[in-house]
Amino acid sequence: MKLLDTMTVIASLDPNHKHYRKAVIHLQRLRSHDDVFIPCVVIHECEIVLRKRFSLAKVEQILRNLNLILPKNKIVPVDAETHAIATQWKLIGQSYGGYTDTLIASLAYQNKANVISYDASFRHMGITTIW
Amino acid sequence: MLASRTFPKNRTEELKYSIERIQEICEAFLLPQEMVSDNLKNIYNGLSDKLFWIALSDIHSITKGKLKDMEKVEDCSLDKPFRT
Repeated sequence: MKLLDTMTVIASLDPNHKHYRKAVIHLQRLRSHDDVFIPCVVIHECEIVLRKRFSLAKVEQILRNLNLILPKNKIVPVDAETHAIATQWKLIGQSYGGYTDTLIASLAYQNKANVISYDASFRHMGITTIW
Repeated sequence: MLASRTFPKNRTEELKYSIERIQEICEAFLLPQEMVSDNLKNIYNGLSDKLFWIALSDIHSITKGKLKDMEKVEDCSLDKPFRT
């Protein structure tokens, strides 16, 4: 199982982003490869990122288009255990990324998954990354 | 559920509509995935692919390079709640 990171999705939304080409390939794999999934918290974090840069009307438009791109059967929910693992890591100082990064990492840990990301913080939390 | 519907106006909606109709046809005839003809599968995949690129290009026309410098998501931890 492979999980898309937020920055992979964000990079694919802007052709001028330095990681655009690879990000789009990974986004396409979400549709074509059975083992690629997207955590629901990634969509949540995308909205937060977009809200900081665009008007609410534009964010709505982007999210509606994103809805056409992200297959519903590929969105993975987080549960209380995902949050518990993330909290435990925070408690013992093993949480290296931001709040959502830690949730994505703990979801990967729960499912023995790798994370599709160029962000080193996942490796610091013991999660293998693919880029 | 092949009831009459209002045909969508824009190209994205049109593609989404076509994809949903193919899904409905398969469901209406209770076709399992492996029995759906290659032709129908190819049409379905072609439409989905087109929808993917149209939706993505619509997003690009909104973002217009404003995300290009973003290397990492700013921390939105519980300690630092994001502003609404």
